[in-house]
Amino acid sequence: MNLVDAMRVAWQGTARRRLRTVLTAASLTIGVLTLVVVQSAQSLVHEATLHRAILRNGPATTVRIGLTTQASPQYWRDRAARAVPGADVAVYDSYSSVNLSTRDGDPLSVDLAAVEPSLLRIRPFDVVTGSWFTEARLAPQLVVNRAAGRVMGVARLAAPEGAVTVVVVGVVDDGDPTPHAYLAASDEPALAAAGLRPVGRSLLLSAGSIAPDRLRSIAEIAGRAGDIEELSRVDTVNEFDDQLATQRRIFLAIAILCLVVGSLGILNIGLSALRERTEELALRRALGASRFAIATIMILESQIVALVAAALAIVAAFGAVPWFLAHLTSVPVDSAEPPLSALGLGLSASALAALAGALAPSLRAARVPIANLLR
Amino acid sequence: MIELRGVAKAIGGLSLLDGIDLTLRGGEKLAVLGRSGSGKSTLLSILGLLAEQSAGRYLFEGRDIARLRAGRRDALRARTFGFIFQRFCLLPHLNAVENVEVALLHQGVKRRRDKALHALAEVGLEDRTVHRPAQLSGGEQQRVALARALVVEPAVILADEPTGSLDEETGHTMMALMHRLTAQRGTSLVVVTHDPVIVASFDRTIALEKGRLVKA
Repeated sequence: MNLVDAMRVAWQGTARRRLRTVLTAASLTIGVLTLVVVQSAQSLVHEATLHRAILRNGPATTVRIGLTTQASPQYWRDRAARAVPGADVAVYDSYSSVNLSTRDGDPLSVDLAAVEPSLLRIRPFDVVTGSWFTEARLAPQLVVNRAAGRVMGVARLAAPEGAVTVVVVGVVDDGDPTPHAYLAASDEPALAAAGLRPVGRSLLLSAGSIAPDRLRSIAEIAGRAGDIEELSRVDTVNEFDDQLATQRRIFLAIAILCLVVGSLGILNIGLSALRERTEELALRRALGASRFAIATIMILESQIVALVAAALAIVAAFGAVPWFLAHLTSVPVDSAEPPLSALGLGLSASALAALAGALAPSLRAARVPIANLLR
Repeated sequence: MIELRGVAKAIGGLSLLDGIDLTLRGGEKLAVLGRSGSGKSTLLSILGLLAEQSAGRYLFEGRDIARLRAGRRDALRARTFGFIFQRFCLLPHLNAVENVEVALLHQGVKRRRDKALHALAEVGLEDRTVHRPAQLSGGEQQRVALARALVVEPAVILADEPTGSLDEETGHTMMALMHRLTAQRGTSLVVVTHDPVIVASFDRTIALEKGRLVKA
C-alpha cells in the first residue's frame, strides 16, 4: 500500500468519526493557539520594539558621545568621521521644552532638538507627511513627530526674547509618544538670537561596528577628553528583549502544557478507540496490510486531526493575537497579524503533539491479533 | 498444496489443537465439522496463516512456512487466501464496492475499482455497489464478502460458518454460488459448517473433537 492509499484510508477513518475528530482536534487547538499567539506576540512586539528602538536611538551599534555645550560640534564631527571612516555622524543639540503654536491653535509644549539632516541616516524616521527639511529657507524649519503632528505650516516658537516664527515642514514617526520638534541645526542662530540656547549637546555616531573604548581613546589622544561628558551605546533592544523573554517563557510554558494536554487527549482517545476498531484493523491485516501499514494509517489519522487543530488555531489566532497585544502588552505594533513563522510553528507543534499522542495507539494497533476474526 | 504435519496449538496451557495431520490439494473442497470449541476456527486460523501453530510443521507447496519472516508471511496470506467470516466483517463506513476494494488496496493492486465491480457482478450485486452494509440484507452482505474474497484471485478460500448468520434457503444459495465460482477458478475451498446438506456437496469432510482429528 502506498502513501496515497494510506492517506485515503486514514481520511476515511477520520471522516467516519467527524464529531470525535473535531473534539479531539479542539483539545489540541487550545495548545496550538496559545503557542501561535505567544510566538506571534513575541515576534510582533520584538519587531515593533526593535523598530522603535532604532527610531529613538539608532541601530544597535550607535554610540552617543555626550559633549559639553562648549565643545565644538564641527571639531568632533570631523574627528569622528576620520576615526571611523564611513560612519554616519550627526550633532544633536537638546533644548528645554518650548511652546509651539499656530495662529489659531493652543500652544503645545514640545521637546526641541536642533539636528543635522544626516540624523535621518542614523534614526530612520518614517516621514508621515511633508518632508524631512527642505532646501528653501524663508524661515527656520521644524519637523515635528506624530505626537505634535497637529501643528503644521507657519507656527510660533516661544523664546525668552520674543517668539520665533518657524515653518513646520513635516511630520515624522520618531518612535516617541511625547511631542517632539526637530529644528535644522543651520537655523540654530535664529534661536540663539531669541535667547534660546541648548542645554545638552551630543554626537551620534553609527557604523557597522564600533567599540566605545576605541572612541574614548581617540578622544584622549586628541587631548580633548574634557569635552566628553558621557560615552555610551544607546541601543535598548537587548534590554527590551530581556524583559520580553521572561514574559515569553511564562506563556510558552502554558502553551507547552496545553499541547501536552492535547497530546494526552489524542493518546486517550486513540487507546479507547482501538477496542472498537479491533475488528477493522484485524481485517485489514488479514487482507494483506502489514503492521507498518496499520501503524502508518493510525499516525496519518492523527496528523489529519493535527491539521484540523492547526487550521482552527490559525483561524482563531487572527482574532486572538490582536486581543492579546491590546490587553497583555503595552507595546504598540503596526500590524497585529500573526507572522508566517508563528503559523509554521503552530502547524509543526500540532503535528508533533499529535504524533506523540498517536505513537502508543499506533504500535498497539499494529499488533492487533488477527486470529480473533475467526471467533 | 498445503500440508499440516503434527500441528498443535495451545494457549496458556490449554490445548486447542493437537496432532493434526492434514493435506489440502489444489481445487479441493473440504468441509470441517465439529462442535463448538472443538478447534475448527483455530484450524482455519492456522491454515489461513492468521495464527501460528505451537508445534508441528506447516508446508506450503513443500516449503516450511515457519522459516518465513512476518512480512513475507503477511504477503503470502494476502496472496493465497480469501476469507469469509460468519459475521461478514464488512467495514460499515464503506459501500459494497469499496469493501471489495479493501482487499486489493492492501496488496497494492492497480485498477481496483474495475476489478471490484467485476467481482460484485459475479456474485450478482452489480446494482448494489454503492450501498453500505447497513443497507444490504444478510445474504447480500455475505455475497459482498465472497466478492472480496474472490477479487484477489486466491488459491484457497477459507470460510468460517459462512451460512451461520443466514436463513437456510439463503445459506444454500450462498453455498451454491461459492461452489460455482470456486470451481470456475479451480480455487480450493475450506468451509467450517454444521449443516449436513452443505457437507454433502464437498469432496471431503473432516471432523474435529477436542482439538483432534476424528474423521479424515
